[in-house]
Amino acid sequence: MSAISKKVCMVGAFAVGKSSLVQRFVLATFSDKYITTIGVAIKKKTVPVEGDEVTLMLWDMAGEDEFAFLQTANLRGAAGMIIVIDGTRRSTFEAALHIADRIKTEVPTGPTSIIAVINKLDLSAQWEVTEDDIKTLEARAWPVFKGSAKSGQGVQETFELMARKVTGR
Amino acid sequence: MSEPISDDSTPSRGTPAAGSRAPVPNPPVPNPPDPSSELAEVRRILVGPEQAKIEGLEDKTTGLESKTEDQRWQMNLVAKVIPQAVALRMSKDKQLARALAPTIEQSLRDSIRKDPSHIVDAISPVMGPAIRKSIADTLQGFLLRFNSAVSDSFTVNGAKRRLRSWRTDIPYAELVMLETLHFVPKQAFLIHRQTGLLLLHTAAAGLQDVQDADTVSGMFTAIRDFVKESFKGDEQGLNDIRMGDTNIVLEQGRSAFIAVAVRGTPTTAYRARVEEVVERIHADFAPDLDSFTGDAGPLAPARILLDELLEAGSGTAASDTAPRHKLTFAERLRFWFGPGLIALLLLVAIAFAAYFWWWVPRDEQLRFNTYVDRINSTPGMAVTYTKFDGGSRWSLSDDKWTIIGRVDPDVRPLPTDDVLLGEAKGLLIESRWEQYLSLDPTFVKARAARVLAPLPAGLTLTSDRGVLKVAGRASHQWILRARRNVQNVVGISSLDESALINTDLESLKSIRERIEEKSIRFTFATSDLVPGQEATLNAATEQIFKLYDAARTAGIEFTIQVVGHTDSSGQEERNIRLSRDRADRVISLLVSRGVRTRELAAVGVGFAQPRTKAESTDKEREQNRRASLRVLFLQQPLFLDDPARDEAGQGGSQ
Repeated sequence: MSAISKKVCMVGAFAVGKSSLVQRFVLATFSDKYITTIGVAIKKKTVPVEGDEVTLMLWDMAGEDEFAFLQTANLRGAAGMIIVIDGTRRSTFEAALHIADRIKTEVPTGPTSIIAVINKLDLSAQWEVTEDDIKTLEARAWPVFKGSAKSGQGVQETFELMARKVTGR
Repeated sequence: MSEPISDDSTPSRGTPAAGSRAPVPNPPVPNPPDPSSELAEVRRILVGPEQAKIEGLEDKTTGLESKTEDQRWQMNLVAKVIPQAVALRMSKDKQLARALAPTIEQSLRDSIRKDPSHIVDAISPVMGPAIRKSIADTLQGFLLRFNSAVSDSFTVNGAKRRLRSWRTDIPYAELVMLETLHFVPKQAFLIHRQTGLLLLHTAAAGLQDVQDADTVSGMFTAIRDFVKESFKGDEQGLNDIRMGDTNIVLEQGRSAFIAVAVRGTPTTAYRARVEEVVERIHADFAPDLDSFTGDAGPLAPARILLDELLEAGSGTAASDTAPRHKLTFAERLRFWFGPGLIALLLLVAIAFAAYFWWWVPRDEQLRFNTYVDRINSTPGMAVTYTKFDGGSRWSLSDDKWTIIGRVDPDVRPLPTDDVLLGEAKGLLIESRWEQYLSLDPTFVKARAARVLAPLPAGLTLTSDRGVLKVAGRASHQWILRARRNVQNVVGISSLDESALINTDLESLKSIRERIEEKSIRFTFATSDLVPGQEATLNAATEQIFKLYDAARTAGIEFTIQVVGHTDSSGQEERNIRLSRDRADRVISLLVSRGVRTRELAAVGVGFAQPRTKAESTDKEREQNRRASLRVLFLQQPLFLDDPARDEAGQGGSQ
């Protein structure tokens, strides 16, 4: 128990690839099959940060859509939050901003370290999210990663940065 | 109250002032009235001590006044800083709390003694929910156990329990409680409430298949949050997760909660224990919990408490809830030998039951069957009905057999019971015999013999398929009676007389022969006898007398025809008359010798039945001048054996 543990939540609209990113990061695998996360799935991965080890408890939340609202209660006590956006669907960018705002108001003890990931870089040709959108995100002081759960691009970096941010290094 | 504070560490801002006023009574502040005056000197000598005392008192009074003033000033000073001072001290160590504790406790005691209602009013908002929760928990625990008891009561477990209850004399309900109270804590988690991060985890020794505790604790938190959000429960939130016989006890603290996975149904007492541990952890590790940022290291010492939770339930929970009763020697004996003894008794019982229910009836049946067989194999006897009346299975003497059979009256002698019973001797047999007529040849013959008795000496009877064969000699009367009576013999339809000799008939035939051989000759053309035939007539008469006797014995009637004959010479008409005269002449001669006239008949046939037809010589002509005798029996059937002769006889008697 000497290692530090941190709660990190994956949020975003449905089918943006939250679970895929977690799976890629934790198990280094990817599956094309889409499985809806119901409620929350919790995974764990230990990340080395400057000689120490940080255990990230990854709360992979069910994607939000018009039928299922994010259970913001699950965000309580989270040190970090990764907002996932599907690059090929601009609506997910708007959803991300909306979700972030809701969390900010509904969960005062919510995460302070926030990273945005624009997923599906492997389909970059079909991207609808623009550079302007990315600037909007950066304006909120969120580091923005472009990545792909399928190719693994940017995944490791995202989680390593998160590990550093939540441990304050 | 004052001691601990004034000792050392807190040089509060009020104390220096108090220190500067402390040495007041020491140096006398001079207030000289007249130093040079003698009077003053004298006064000093006389009342000096008193004056000094008075002055001292005055000084004291003044001192007291200024002291009171000073204290008021100090109090003001302290009052301003006391909240901050208390807070400051409390943040540094627990000394203040320790110092205050006895006073507060005493005050509480005094207050309650004086009027408990104040305290009750004050704490009732807190106590109410706590008591309600405790009662609810207890009831729920009871309900769970009751439920499991009821659901078990009709299962194999229930049956086993009943057996145990019977064997150990512990009431069934108590046993159910004892057993359902058995629970084993398997894992305990201490989880940070807000982050869901695992603070401590401990698992029972040898526990296999432990999931990743970090993930599990995250999920517990997620589930708790989910339930709480979804159903807007009270602050306590989820208390129990139940899955099969595994219960997860969740006990909530301010900043952390404990989840214990328990196999079985935990008692309320155990729940209280978990609650206690949560409270203790919060008391002992409050700063660490409050400042938790992901490093659970400082909480490591709390593991001992968590481990206690795993031990608390191990073994039977019954041991701490139910008074263990000490087994007496007899109970011990029953405990160890109970099952064996029961098995032995059961075996003996089965053996007895088999003996009475199976072997005895079977044996009796076999013995009875031999009896029945023996009866059936006895000629003239047959069993038509048997019946068994088992009385009580436990008493052989109640078994009764009934047998109904038939017996031919000609079974002579009747076999004795000794012979028939054989192995069946000893059985209680009630027999009833009905008479019947057997068609067995032996019995048919016996029956015939009885009907035909007395049998003539040397006569034998044989019966074969309805035909009774009689061999030997018998009188005519006997034969007639036999023919009549044999029809009444069951099993006989006809009489075979081929080997039967009618003794009466025989003697009649021989007498007839001797009579008919006689011939009485007459002289030419007269009814006068040729002289010298007295002997012939006498002999004939003698034979006729014999015939009387024989016919009477046989019951046969007869006629003796005396037939007159002539030779061929002369007219036929004259010859018939002459032959008739000759017959009459013989009859009169016989009658004169004693022969009855009743059976005698005279017949004249002329030359119709000559002895010699040709009459070539005189001698032959002489022979034809005669009278012959002819015996006719009147009961035809007897002579069926010789019909030709009869016909001839009849034909000749016209």
